Amino acid sequence: MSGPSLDNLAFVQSEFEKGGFLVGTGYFVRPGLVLTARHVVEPDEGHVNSVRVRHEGSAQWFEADLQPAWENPGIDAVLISLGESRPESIDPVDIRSSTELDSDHWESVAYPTASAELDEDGKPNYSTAGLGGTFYTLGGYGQAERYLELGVEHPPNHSDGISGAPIFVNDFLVGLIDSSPKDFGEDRLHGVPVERFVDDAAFITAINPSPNKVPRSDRWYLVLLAEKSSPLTEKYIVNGLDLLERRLQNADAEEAIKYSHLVLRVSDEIHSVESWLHLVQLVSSAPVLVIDVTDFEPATMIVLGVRAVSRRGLTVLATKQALDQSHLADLPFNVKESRLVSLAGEGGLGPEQLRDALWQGLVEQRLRSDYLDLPAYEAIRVPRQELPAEVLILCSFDKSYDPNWKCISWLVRILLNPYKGARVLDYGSPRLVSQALYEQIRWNTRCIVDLTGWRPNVLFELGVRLACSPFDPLMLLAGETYTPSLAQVSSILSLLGVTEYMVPDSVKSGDSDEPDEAFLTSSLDDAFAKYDQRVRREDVAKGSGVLAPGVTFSMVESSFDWKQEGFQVRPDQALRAELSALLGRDWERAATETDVLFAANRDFADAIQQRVRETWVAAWQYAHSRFGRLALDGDLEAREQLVDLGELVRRGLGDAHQELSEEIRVLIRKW
Amino acid sequence: MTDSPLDMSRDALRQIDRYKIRGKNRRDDGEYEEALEYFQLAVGVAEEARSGESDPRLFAEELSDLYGMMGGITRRQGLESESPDDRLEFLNDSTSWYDKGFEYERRELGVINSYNLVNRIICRILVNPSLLEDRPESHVGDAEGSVLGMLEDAGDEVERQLGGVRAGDPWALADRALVTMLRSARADAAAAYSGLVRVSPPGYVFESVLETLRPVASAASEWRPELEDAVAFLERRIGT
Repeated sequence: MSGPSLDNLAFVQSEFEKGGFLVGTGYFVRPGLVLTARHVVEPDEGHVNSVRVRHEGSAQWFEADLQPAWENPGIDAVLISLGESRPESIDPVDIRSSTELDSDHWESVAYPTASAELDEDGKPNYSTAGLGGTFYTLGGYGQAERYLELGVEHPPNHSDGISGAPIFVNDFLVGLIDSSPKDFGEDRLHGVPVERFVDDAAFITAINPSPNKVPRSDRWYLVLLAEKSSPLTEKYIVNGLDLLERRLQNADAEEAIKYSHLVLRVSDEIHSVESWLHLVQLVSSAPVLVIDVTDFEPATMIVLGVRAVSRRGLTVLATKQALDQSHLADLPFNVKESRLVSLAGEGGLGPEQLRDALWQGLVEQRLRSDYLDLPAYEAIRVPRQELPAEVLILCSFDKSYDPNWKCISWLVRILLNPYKGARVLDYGSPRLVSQALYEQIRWNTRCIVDLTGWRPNVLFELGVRLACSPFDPLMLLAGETYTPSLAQVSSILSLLGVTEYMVPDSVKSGDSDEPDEAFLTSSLDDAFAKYDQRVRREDVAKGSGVLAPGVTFSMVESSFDWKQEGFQVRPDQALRAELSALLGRDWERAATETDVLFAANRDFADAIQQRVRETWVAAWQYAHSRFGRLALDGDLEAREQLVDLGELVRRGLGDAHQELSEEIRVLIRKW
Repeated sequence: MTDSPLDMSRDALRQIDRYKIRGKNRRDDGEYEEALEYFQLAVGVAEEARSGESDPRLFAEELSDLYGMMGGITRRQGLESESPDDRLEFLNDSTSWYDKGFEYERRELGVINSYNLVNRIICRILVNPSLLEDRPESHVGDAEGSVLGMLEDAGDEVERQLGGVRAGDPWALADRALVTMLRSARADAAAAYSGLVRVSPPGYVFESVLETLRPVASAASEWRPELEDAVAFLERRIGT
């Protein structure tokens, strides 16, 4: 039977704190998850302190969590969760955009009379009624957000209870009813189309919960294995974590200890959009990540790029290879600065080496606010730049790639006119290449990634791009070229919607500097056209199983642990941290000795002293204006804060600002 | 989850810093007893944090620094005392604090410095300058050995440090110069301090060196008269 099912239908009742209630219709899209209109559970009329759901299939009532499982303030749709107590079996629902379907006929089922009719006990009458009609396919466009315009056959006399009712086209849920326009009578309804939220990262992960739960601990470890990681590698890494935790917990070798860690294989976590998003969420939130980068597999490098954007640390790159000069010389460009930990220690010392690296990383993370173990984190956090009208091309720099480059340049010139393609080495600026590269990755709206050659640095840069820009790149790959013998390759190709191209023989042989019209296949033409539409923020149908534009970015954005950046520190604390960053922990000693580079230059040393003094004055002025009145009124915490800071400021001022120093001394003595 | 050693170490360092700052402020205000109390509190935190760790290098630098500052305060108290008995008591206390600091001022503990190394000798000389005389009795010294022997060892250690990470360090150069002047009654001040002068340190370095040198020169004038030449030499450098 096509269309909505009574077994998934829900009657939603929200009760106000001050009495009264609001009713609507909902639909179980997953066990325990009901999709309904947001205004049914978060109305403007008052504060709701209880939401209850009646499952039509079992006639049972359930309490819903007040905190929605998913919501978006700009959309009149919400997923409410029933927690542990829920109907026993709910068939999952297929969600599809109506633009992908041929039919213009819709149907629904709702509780239209619920708000209008009350039974003898004053409770709403939740009788279902079928609804249906035809879409007005030209309606719902314009300046406002897209909506579904529904013509209603046999409209009901009352419609308040139908808010949130599912809209079906055949077997597919395409939207939910949210309002009736006042200008058209009762035979017209408006609905929220699913395409407004179906590609929302938070919605996807809500309806597809991960089997891997994020540990509820401030200190937990994520281990990401490669597709070809050996059992010994996994064992060494886990042993290394065990050794570290024993040290952290002051436990000896025989003591039982507990700690949280998650071991996943990257290639197993990229088979679908939802699994990829769950992986991104884990990678962005794990305080410590140990990742097997042996052979720099493609999926591993993409994930590393995401990690490099989302966290300063702690990330340890482990490899089963013994690291000698040849290995170090062959490291991908982007990770040359990162320290690899070899698990191939002599006598099986790999776990000890990992433990030591993790320990050192944890120590340095605590002491240094500028700690970094991967490139890109700071380089992409630059203000918006004025960039030339170019499409950033991330690709191999190998000589053998030249014919491909000619083809890509031609495609950009023909299909993305007036833009032209540019690799980072094409930029004329003498700036550091890495600096320019990451700046471009962040701010250039248009970007093409060519996977040809499966270069680890290109894959890393792809990960960075996916994580730091809402504009996903156009993905290309030359056919009949080297492809790693890894199962993950097919997952990557389908997840990213990669378009294949063939370099013409005439370009390969050097007979021609650019391809002819025959090179432009329909799939290339289509890929570029859709890419251009996406960049312009036009609605474009994407293939099934392909990442929606910007979904990785939005997942990283929602998972970003901004507290690691210390934004919540007070200005006076930030100023002190600034001095520590400049002079080290013992800033007095550094300022008087030669710890600061070139401080033997007398003028420079004087400038440092002046800077230290003025910084302390600024810190004091802020804290005094913030806490002074409180401290005077007897607030002990405020006094303690000011005394602590005052002692520091006195030291920092030395013989300068004697009046201020004396004023602080008197205050401290008084308190 | 209970605090890890990392968090406990970090918290201990923060607390030590708080006490140190207060101690230094009180010292500069002339409130020596209160300063010593704060440094003692800091020592307590460092000793406790250190006791829970298997790595002996942890907090060694802090303890070396703290005991050294306590030695400096009590030396100042001694030199400012008008009562001979008080002077002696303070200087003996100072010697003890410097000796304690010296226990942590070791290469194997990762602390490469000569502050306590040299000042523990200075204090012994301030108490009994006749220890500088090269006669059999002066080789008795105390449990640490004779002062002349200590000076020889100190000279070797400072030289070693100057050949390594402290190359060009004005404080190490000043210590070497002072040890040279104290080891021999015939030392030339200009030659001894030429290394320090050559690195052109800021004025406060000379002032600090003079602050140590003047009382020693005065107390040991009978055995090391050239120390007064050193004082004059350095005073000329800063125009006093």
